[in-house]
Amino acid sequence: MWELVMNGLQQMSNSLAIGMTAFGVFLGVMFGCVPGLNGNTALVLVLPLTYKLPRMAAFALIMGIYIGSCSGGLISAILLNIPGAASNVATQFDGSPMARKGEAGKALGTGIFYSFIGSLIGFAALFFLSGPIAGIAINFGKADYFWMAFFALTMVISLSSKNLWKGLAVACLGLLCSFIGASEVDGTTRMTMGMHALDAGINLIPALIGIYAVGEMINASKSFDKKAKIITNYKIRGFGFTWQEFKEQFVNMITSGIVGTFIGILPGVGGMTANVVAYSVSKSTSKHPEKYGTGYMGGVVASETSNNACVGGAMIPLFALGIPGDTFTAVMLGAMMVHGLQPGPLVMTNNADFIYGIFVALMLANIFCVILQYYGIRIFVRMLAVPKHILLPIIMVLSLVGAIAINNRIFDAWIVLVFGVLGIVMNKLEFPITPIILGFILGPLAETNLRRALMVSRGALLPLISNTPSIVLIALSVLSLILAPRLLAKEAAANIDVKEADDEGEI
Amino acid sequence: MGNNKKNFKDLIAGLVVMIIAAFFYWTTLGTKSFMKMGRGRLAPDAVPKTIAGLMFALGIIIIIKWFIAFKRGTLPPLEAEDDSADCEGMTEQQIKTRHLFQKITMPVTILFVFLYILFMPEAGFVISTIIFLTFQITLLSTDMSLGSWVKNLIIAVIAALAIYIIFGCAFGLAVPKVSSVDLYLNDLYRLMAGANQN
Repeated sequence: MWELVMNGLQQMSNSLAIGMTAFGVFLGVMFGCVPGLNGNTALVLVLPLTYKLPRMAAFALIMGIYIGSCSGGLISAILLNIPGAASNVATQFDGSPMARKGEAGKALGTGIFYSFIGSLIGFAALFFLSGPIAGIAINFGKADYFWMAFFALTMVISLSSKNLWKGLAVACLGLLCSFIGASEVDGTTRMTMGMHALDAGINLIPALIGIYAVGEMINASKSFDKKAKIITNYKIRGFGFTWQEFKEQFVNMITSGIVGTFIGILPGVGGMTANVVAYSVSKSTSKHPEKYGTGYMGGVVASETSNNACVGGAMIPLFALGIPGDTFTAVMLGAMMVHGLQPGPLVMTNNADFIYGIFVALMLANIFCVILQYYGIRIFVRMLAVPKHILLPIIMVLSLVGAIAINNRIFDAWIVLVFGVLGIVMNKLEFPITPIILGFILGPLAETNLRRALMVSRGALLPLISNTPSIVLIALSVLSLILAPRLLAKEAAANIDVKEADDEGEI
Repeated sequence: MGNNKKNFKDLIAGLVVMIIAAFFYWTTLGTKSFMKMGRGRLAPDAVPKTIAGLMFALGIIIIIKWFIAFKRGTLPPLEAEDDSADCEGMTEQQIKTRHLFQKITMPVTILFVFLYILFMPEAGFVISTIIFLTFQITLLSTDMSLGSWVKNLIIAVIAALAIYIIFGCAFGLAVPKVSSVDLYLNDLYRLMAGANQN
């Protein structure tokens, strides 16, 4: 294993890759802290760049953005009282009251430090778990693969939707979109309506850009620029907290890290769920639950540790199974394919150097993130005033460039627009968005393996459900449908609790 | 309370699901496989047809659930968008303009992007991008004065040239290089890059 780590270090030890990591972190923090923009927007912005960069440098840039964007939102959550991204919502609950009490420096220091710790916990899980999980998945048969895809889909549907039927319907839509073009088993083109541009199917990246970036951008453009009060009179000394406080928060830190990592692993949910759940867990297990929401350091610790722990967690299913854990990793999956990597359990063995290079990039990004945020906080605060009405159209142009350049054809720009409109309509009608993406990614995996398994079994259904891995996966699917609504209920309850506490604080 | 409008969201949602499902079912018609069907061989359109059928059924379920809730009166009320906090200190006229723009921004943006993609292969990247950016930035800024148009045009020209030179020329990405402006800039870039190398 250490040999692989050394190989990874070697992959990353060039100035371009290191520079790209730093650039990625800078962009990530900047987009993370401006409300209305987030890591996905930053990724779309640099996507055309990643096509042309060497593979390692491209993914170093992506890792930097991922780490930076998870953490950057804490700046605006604390100083502006508006979370910069959905993954920092719970940071605001205690971070903002801390700032109003005159402890802005302490809140920022705590947030930056525990983001680092959170990334470390998630990274440890990624480092030690992805290999063994890939090892199990390599021995999967065709039927097992089908059930794995099925399991991932049930998870997404049950976790991401308040309304199960709507989630199911949207997942079906994702599956149907993925079937367009030549089928993998027999090469028959289908559902193309005679358009030859669709013969190879719909490319993942334009579809993702459309659904997420364009939809989000158009939504963000509705809210115009707000004038907000930024707290500017603060000083950071050290990280702002004492050794005693660190010891007090130790259990909270570990629990929040584990909660974050676990939620990251689950497909379809990520930092935006993790920070709120970790906050409520931390509050309910704390000796002083009444302090939460009044400017208590523990709240910031829980939120910031958990959202960064998600990063490592979300990449475990991506590397081990080829299943992305959230939107960001879904775009990463698309970028991996652009660079000629076939996602799935074999990546861990066939491209071990590259994967370990990514691990090194993650660690490096984590270190850069602390340094950049600690010393550059005033620069990022200035970024909060960036005029969105100029930035959003430019990002729109770049996202279209990214789509056109992937296959050198204007057709993919139309795909962006169609999926963009689809995203807006679904948003208006309160459909969850994640199931369509996972359906789109898992569709070919599920269908191809089902058809092949049926060929092998000559049409018999029993062999499809009699393998040990298959049985386990079916059981897990059923379990997810039962347990997931409870997790959701917990999150909702936490949200209400916290809101009440916040309202009381205001009075 | 607050809003007396009836919540028809899920009725529309169910109908949209059913229409999309029917559309996809229609696209699967006439699929021909090159492979002989046999035991355990699923036809290439079997899975898509099943999923489309399932989706159609889901649309019906969503509508039935909406109808039951509608009859019982348990539908959640439509949430009215409240932006009074953002409008603090604005004049009546400003608030009116703001609300008007909130309504039209989304459809007009979609129209602009549509026209932009439509004309990009005809007009080339630089010119179409300059026009698109000027209009889109002015739309989002909600300031329609002449000064604002001029300022935004300047921003658009700089941004379009920067994107074209960085991504189109330096990185060699395949953006449509059609108009004489595109070609001239491309040649100019090559000349400069070549001169640097020598």
